[in-house]
Amino acid sequence: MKLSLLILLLMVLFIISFSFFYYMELAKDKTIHPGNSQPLKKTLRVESEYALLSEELAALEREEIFWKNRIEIAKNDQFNLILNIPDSLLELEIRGISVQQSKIQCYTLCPELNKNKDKWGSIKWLRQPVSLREQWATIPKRPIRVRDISTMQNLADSLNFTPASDDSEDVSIILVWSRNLSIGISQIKEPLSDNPFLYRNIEQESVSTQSSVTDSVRFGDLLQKDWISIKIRRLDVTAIYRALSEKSQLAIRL
Amino acid sequence: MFPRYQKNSSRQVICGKKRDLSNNNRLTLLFTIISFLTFILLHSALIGQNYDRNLVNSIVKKDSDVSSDMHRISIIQKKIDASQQRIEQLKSTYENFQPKRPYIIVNTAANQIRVVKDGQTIHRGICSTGSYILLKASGQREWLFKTPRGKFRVTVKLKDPWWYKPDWAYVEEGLPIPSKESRKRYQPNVLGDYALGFGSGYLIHGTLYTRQLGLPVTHGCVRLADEDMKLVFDTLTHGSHVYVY
Repeated sequence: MKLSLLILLLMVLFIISFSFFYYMELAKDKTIHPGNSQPLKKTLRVESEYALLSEELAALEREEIFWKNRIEIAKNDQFNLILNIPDSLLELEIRGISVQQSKIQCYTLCPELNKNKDKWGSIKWLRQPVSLREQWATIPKRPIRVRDISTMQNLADSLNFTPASDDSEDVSIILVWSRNLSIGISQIKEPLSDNPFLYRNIEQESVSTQSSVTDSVRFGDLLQKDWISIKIRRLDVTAIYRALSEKSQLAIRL
Repeated sequence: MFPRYQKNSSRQVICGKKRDLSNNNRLTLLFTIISFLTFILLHSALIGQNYDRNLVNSIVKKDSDVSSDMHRISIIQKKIDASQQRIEQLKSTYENFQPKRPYIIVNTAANQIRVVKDGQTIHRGICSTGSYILLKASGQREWLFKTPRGKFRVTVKLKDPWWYKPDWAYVEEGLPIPSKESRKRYQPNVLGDYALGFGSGYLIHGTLYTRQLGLPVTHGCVRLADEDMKLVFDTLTHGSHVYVY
C-alpha cells in the first residue's frame, strides 16, 4: 500500500512538473498565451496579406501581358481589337492608335472563363494575342450596291438612283479567334429619349443577347470552348466588323 | 501431515502473495487512471482551455514560420514593384506609337471625323464618305466608290483646289468622255477652298453639298463642311497620319 502511494505521489509530481514545463514552453513560444491572441491575429493578418498580395501580383501579371500583347499587335498594319473587360472597353486600333473606343454596355463570359479569369492559369492562356479565324455577321462586309448605267433608260434614272438601305436592323457579329475563343458582339438598344429605366432595359436585353449569341455560336456549329458575349452601340459594331481584316488580332484582358 | 501442512501452508502463502500482487495491480491501475485524469485536468487548466492543441498547431505558426511568411511577403512585394515598373515601361513603349504630329481619324460607318493633337481630341465633326456603289458601264468598265480603310499620310495640301474630272463622272452623267489631257476635265470651285490628298487620288476636301454631310454619298473622297475643312487644313501638315476605318 505504501509502495502504491509512493508511485501515485511520484506520478502526480511527474505530471505536475511535465505540465508546468509544457506550459512554460508554450509561453516561451508566445504563440499561445491564455488571454493573449495578438500573435495569432498577427499570423492570420500575415496570411491574408500574403493572399492579397498574391492576387495583386496576378492582376499585375495579367496587365503586363495585356500591354505586351497590345505592343505586339500594334506592330501590324491592319486593324486589331483590344478587349479590356476590367475597363469595359472594346477598342479598334491600328498601329497603336485607338481609332474607336466602344463602351461595353454589358458582357457575359462563358462559365469556364468566368471561373478562371482571376486565376494564374488564365495568364498562360493570355500570353499571346489571338488571331482571327472566321467572321459571321448580319450585315455585309462591304455594303456594295450595284448601279448599272447601261441598263438605265435615261439620265434622270441614273441621277435618281437611290439604293435601298443594306444594313439589317439587328446588327450582330461573331468573331472566331484562335485558341478556341469566340466573341459575339451585338448592338445595344439605343435610347430614343431620356429613359430613366434605360439601365433596366439594358439588363433585360443582355439576357436575351446572351442566349442569342450563344445560340448563334451553337447554331454555327462552332462549339468553341470559350466564348464572350458583348453589347455595344450599333454603329460601333458595324465599324468594327467592316474594319477587321483576315489577319486581325485580339489582345484581351479579363 | 506436517509436510503436507507445510506444503499447504506454503501454497497458502504463495496464494496470499498472489492475491497481494493482484490487489497492488488494481491499485496501480486505479492510480494510473486517476493520474491520467489529473493530467488532463491540469493540462486543460494550464493551456487556457480555449485552444485545441491540434487546431492551434494547424493555424498558429512559430516565430520562424512567421518570419518565413514575412520573407515571402517581402519577395512578393518586390515582384509587385518590379511588375509595376515593367508595366510603366510597356505603357511608355506603347505611347511611342502615338504620332508626334496631329492626325485625323475618319469613321466611315458613322461618317464622322476626329482631329487629334498631342493625344487630345481637338475637334469632332461629320463628313461624307464612299457610297460603296458599284458603277457599271458598257464595255465591262466598273468603278467601286469606296473610301479606302487603313493608315495613310497627307501627301499633298491644296488651297483653292481644282477638280480633275475622272471618267466615271462623265459616265455617271451620260456624257462623252474627253481625252485625258482635255482642259475640260479641270473644274474649279467643286472641292471647296481646301483639300488634303492622302494617296491614290483620294482627297479630304470641302463640299457644296452640305446637306449630304453625315451620309455615305461620295465617290471615295472624304467631304467635310467648309469650317471643319479649314480647321483640318490648318492643323494637319505634310506627313500627318490619316486613319480611315
